[in-house]
Amino acid sequence: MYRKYSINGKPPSGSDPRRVWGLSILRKTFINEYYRLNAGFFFVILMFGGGFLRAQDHIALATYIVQSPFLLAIVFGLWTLYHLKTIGFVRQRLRWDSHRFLYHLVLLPRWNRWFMLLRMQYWLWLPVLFYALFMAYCGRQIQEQAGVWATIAFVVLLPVSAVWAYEYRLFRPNPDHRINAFAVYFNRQFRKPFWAYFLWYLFGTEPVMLFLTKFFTGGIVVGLCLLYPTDRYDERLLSLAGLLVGVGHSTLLLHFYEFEHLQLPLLRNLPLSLPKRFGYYCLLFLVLLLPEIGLFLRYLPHSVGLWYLVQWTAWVVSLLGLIFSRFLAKHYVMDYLLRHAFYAFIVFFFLIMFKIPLILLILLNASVAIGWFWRHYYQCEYVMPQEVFAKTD
Amino acid sequence: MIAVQNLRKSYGSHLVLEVPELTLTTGIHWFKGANGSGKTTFFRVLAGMLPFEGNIQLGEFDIRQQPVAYRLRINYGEAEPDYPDFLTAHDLISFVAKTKQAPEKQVETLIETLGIAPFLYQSTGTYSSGMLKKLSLALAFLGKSQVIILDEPLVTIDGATVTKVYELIRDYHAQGIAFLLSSHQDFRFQALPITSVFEVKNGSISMSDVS
Repeated sequence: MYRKYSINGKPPSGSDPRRVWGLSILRKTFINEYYRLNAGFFFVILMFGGGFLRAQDHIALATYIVQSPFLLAIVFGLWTLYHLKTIGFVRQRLRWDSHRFLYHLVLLPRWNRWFMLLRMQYWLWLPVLFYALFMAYCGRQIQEQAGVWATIAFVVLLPVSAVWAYEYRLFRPNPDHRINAFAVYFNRQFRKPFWAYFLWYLFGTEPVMLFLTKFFTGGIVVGLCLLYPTDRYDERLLSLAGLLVGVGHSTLLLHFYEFEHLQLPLLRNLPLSLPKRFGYYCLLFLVLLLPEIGLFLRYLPHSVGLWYLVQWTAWVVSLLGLIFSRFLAKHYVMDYLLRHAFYAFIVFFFLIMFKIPLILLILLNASVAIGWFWRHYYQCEYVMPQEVFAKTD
Repeated sequence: MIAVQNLRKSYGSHLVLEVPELTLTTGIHWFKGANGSGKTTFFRVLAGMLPFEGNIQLGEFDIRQQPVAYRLRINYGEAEPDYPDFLTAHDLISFVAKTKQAPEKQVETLIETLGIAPFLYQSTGTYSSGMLKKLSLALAFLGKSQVIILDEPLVTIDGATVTKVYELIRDYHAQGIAFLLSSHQDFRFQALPITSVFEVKNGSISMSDVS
């Protein structure tokens, strides 16, 4: 009776048809979507990896990592973050109304379901698995057995934890919304300011993305500030750090753009002037960047003045303003976003390296951002191709 | 009061609404139409929430030339409201009341009339669909608007609240505020003094018989 649900209409010979049905569904709903939405992310990783390192550098790096417990721990930490990213993606999708039919998976036999979820997780882990395989190969070449086995054990065992995370969600389709007395007390005492709604959203709904972004951008700031005094670098190095911080927020800003359109469409009906709206956005960006500004202040090289810190802050805020205004001018999906962010990074990279004064770049960004914002704020529309016609009632 | 000229709304290459000319006077206007006919799109365009081609004027205020003054005078209540689940009714009402310049007394009256006080400080993630609808109605009545658009205002709310919504509409209408309402069911608005009925069909809007 399950044959009609098999992949490509072919009978699922030799395997449990229910498992085949489930895998097919998981592939379409999670695996394909995950890679489609993160194509830009992997593109940037490949560009940075392939662009800056030669083949022999890759081999040297992997060999070095597999020999050093410290570096191995860092790599395992990064893979754990990636693991959390995949789990966050699947668990968030499971909360979508359109994915509620997947809760029927609980009707499958337990071992079948666990095996299916584990296979799905390995599919999501494919880029990590490839690199782990490469590391294991490099380690084997130098007979570094401990590093090789640690790598294999890590990539085999960690994905198992995802099965538990998915099971937990599948058996709890409605997250607990009991009324918290403390929350009610807090809400009674404090009113959330409108410009900070997105911060609440990030902490409540997208903590993994927030953490990953801040981990990356904070690491850039600290790393380049520490690198600065080691050679005869000038402020351009720090401006590049600012550029990476700005571009590093692209995904987060796309979420902001989607958040406003999908969850707060009423904002466009409110009588707020464009300068006021733009001012609120700049305030949000400034608050969002406080961790990086704090780190920059903490690790500020002695030869760099506070005036540069002010310029650096304005530089990153202007980049965020530019990226956000770009979303208003042109509807982006994640697939295109990181690719375009990479191209923008290259353009700004050369502008900085050619010693264009930072203040000029700030003015340029601000002018373009304000121009786009004024022209497109009321004209932009969030496009949902699959849902457009359902929304035309 | 509202003058629409050469309005065209498309999603990509698909034209979903075309209104060459439409004038709405002060009164209660009922827009009928099947699912997917374009009612919500029309309402959202009027409320300034969607881009469109053409011109819309509310009294002397043009939607593009005076976007703030226009939006101060037109409110919209969603058919299926959905808000960020961490916000409370208090957060949203306070924010919208401030931007729409609603008097304090009006805010208190709406909270009391629509029975929002018991869940005012709970996050909307804990709300039922009826509670969300009450909140969206309260937001739509806030301020000193000249036009209030209510998309399916009676869906998911209980009978007692339906009666109160009728009363609110009648009270506001008596103060000279125009209403644009939509509902699929014919019997829904019989308790109201409907000025005109419009049929939204195949992307166009035509006036039909009030009776």
